Amino acid sequence: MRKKLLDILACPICKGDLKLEVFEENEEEVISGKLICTKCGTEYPIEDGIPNMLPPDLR
Amino acid sequence: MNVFDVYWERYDRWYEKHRDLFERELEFIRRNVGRFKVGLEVGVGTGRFAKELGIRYGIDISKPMLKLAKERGVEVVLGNAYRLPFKRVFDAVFFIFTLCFLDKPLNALISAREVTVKGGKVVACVIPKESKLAEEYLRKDSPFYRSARFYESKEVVDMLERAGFDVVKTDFENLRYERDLFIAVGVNEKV
Repeated sequence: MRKKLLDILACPICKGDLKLEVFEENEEEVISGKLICTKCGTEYPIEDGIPNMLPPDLR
Repeated sequence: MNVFDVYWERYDRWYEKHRDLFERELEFIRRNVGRFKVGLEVGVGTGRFAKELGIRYGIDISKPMLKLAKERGVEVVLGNAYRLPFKRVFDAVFFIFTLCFLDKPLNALISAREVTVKGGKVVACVIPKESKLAEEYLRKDSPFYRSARFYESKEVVDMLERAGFDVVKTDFENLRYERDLFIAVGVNEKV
């Protein structure tokens, strides 16, 4: 995912803002990492450059 | 595992085989939607429509399909239609042949309204239940449409209104038979 995507993403559970942690990236985008909700603390993995924004009970 | 994770290549190939029909579907949607800036397609799949219509963002529950949509240049998110993981930023949210695959289409439309700016549109394009095409798909026992539930055009309008949109436009197109494509455009005026 491109880092700019963070501007429009929100936690699907509480609509809180997300914080990005990068594990691997290239010039264009984040390949792996995680997004953490600053409000409820739920974590969402980024794998293969695609953020998995499914609530944990639906993964 | 959903049906699209297994048969997505077959689904995607349909659009190659039926390029003429696909072009007419695109033209029908373009004609009824008009201009928009920040678009989201719910159930973006392999990104065929998003790419052609200039819809920048897409969400789907099938990761294999999303990988292809991403290759096609759509910014994709794996996620659920009932809890869209976005802020209120879109001026057009599209459901293109998606409502029939959702268990709770009304909930998805309500979630879409939460991410649509004031004056923004939601676009629902369906094969209406009353059409001969819907009847044919249901009879054919296709792996995709086995799990589908078609809605009548008036049910789609009703769902949009119940989700809080003002329905400003509806239209039909004759794709293979008479009036077998339906589109409804709702506007979010109550943010």
